[in-house]
Amino acid sequence: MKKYIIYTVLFAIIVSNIYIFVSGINLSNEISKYEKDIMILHKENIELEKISTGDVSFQKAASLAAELDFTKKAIPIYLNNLAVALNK
Amino acid sequence: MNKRKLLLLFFLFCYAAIIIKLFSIQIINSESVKTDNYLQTEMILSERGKIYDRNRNPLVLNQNSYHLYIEPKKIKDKYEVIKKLDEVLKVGEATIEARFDDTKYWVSILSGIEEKEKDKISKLNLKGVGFNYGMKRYYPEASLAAHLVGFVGKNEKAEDVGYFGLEGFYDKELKGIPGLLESERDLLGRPILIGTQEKIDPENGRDLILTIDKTIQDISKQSLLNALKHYKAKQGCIITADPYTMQILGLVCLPDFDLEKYYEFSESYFKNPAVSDLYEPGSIFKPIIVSYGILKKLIKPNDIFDEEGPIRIGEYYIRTWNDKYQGKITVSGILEKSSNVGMVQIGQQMGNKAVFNAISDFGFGNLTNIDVQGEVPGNLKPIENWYPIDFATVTFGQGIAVTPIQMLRSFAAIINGGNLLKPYIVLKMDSGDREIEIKPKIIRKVLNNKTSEIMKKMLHSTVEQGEFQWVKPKGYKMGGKTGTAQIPIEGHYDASKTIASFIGFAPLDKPKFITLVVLREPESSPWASETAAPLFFEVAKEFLIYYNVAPEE
Repeated sequence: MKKYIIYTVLFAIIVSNIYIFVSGINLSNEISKYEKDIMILHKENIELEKISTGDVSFQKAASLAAELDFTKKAIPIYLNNLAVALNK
Repeated sequence: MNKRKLLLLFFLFCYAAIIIKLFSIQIINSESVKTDNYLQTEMILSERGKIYDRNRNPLVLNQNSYHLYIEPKKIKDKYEVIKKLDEVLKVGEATIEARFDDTKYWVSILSGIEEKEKDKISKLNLKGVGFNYGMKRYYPEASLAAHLVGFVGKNEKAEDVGYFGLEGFYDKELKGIPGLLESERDLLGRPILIGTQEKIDPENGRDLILTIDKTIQDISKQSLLNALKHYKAKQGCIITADPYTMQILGLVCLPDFDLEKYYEFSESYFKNPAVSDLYEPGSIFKPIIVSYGILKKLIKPNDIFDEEGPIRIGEYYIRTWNDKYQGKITVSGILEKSSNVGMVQIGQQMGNKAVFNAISDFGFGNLTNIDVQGEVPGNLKPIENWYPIDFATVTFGQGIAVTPIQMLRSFAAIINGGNLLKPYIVLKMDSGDREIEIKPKIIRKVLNNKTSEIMKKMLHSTVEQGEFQWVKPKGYKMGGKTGTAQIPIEGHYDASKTIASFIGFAPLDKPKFITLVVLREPESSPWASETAAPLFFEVAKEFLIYYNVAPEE
C-alpha cells in the first residue's frame, strides 16, 4: 500500500512539474505576443495621429485650396463701409 | 533487465538527448543563436513631449522612425545589398558603400527611415540587414514656427537633444526619463518566468501647450513672406502678444529654416532674431521717454516746445527726419510728427538722469527671461560712460541697441496700465496626470494707470495723424508708432539702410493684441510709414476679423 502511495505522489509531482513547465512556456509566449501587440499598437497610434493631424493642418488646407483654385476667391470681405449696411 | 537498469538507461537516454541538443545549439548552429539575449538589459525610450498651440492644435508630434544597420559578416554579396538598399533609400550607392565596413560585426547605415521605406526593405529579405526602432519629430504645420520651436538633433553620444527655441529651452521637460528592462530570456527571446524580470517604466516627456495661436502665427507668416518680397527687405519679424499678460500669440521672423531639413542650413538661420538680434529701435522708442517724463511730472502732455530748426549738441546737429520744422509743438505733436528735435528738448527738460532711469526702468539692458533659448540682454552702459550726444540721440531711439522682444514688452507696459511683464510662450505643461499652468508675472510697475491712459490717447492720435491713412482699417480705433532707424556702419549712419518698424495695438480701449513689425533694410522705401506701417495694418485687419472685433465708428 505504502509503495503505491509513493508512486502516486511521484507521478503527481512529475505531472505537476510538466504542467508548470508547459504553462510557463505558454505564459512566456503570451507575454511575448502582448509585447509585440503593444508595440504594433503604439506604432499604429503614432501613424494614425500623424495622418489625422495632417488632414486638419493648414498645410493640407493650403494645398487643397490651391488644387481647387480657392485662393483668389476666398479673400475675406471687409466691412469697411458699414454706413451703407446700416442705412445711415 | 531489472527495473533499476531500465530506469538508469532511461535517464542516460534523456541526458544524451540534452547533450546532443546543446551540442547542436552551441557548436553546429551557433551563428543563429543570440547568446547575448539570455539576460536582456535594455533601455526603454521615453516618448518626447508634444507641442501644441493654445487651442491644442499640434505643432510638433512624434512619428515612427527606424535606424538601418548591417552585420557585414553575414552578408555574402556586398554590392548586391548596397544596390538594393539604394533602390529604396535613394541616398546614393557611394554613401552606403562608404559606411560599409567589412571588418566590423555591426555598422550603422542610416537613421530617420520612415515606415514605408522600412517595409520595402524588409520585403527584400536581405540577410545581415536590420532595423532598430526609434521616433523622430513630425511637424504637421511644417515650419510655421521654426524659430520658436527649434529642432531635435543628436549629441556626441548619439542621444536626442533639443537645440534652439522651445526644444532647447525645455529639453529636460520634453525628453522625459527613459525606463529600464532587465529580463532573462530563452533562446527564442521569450521571458523565463522563474528568472529575473524587472521593468522600470519610462516616464514620457511633458507636452507643452503654448500661448501661440496657430491662426495668428499663420497670418503673420503669410503677411511677412509677402512683405519681404514686396518691400525687398532682407529680414523681418512680426511679434504679437496679449498686452495684459505678455503671452506671445504669434512670433515669426524670416528668413527661417526648414525644420525637417535643419541640417541643410547654417547656424545663423537658427538664431531667433526676435530675442537674439539687437537693433536700434528709432522713433518707436520715443513713447518710452515721454511716458516716463509724464509719470515723473517732468513734462506735461500740453507742454509746448520750440521746434525752430536743427538743434546743436556739441559738434553734432540733430534734425527732423524731413528737415521741416513746426515751430511751436506740443508733446503729442512731437509724437505725431515724430520730431527728433522735439524729443531732444523733452530729454533736456527731463534731465540726463531721468532719461537714463526711463530706459533702465523699462528693462532695457536686462533679459526679459522669455522661455526660448538664445536671448541676449543688450548692452546698457553705466550712466558715467554716457556722452551728451548719447542722452540726446537715445530720446529718439538711436545709439541704443535693444531686442524686438524688449521693445514689445516695454510698449505693452505703456498701454496696459504700467505693468512690466515677463513675456512667455509656454502656457501649460501636461504630464498626463498633472497639468501645470504658467501664470503671467509682473516684474514691476513702471507707470500708473493715468499715465498709461494719456499715452494711449497720444498713440491713437499718432495713428490718426499719420501718413498711412490709406492702409488703416476704417472704423477701428488703434494706437501705434512708426520707427525708422538708420543702421550704423563703420562708425557712421548710412541713410539708405534703415530698419523700419511699427508697433501698434487694437482696439484702443481694451487692446486685444499688441504687434511689433520690423523690416530690415527695405529697398522699396526706407521709411517705416511706407513699409512697416502698411504691413502692421494689413495683419491687424486680419487679427480684428479673427477676434471678431466690430468697428467702433
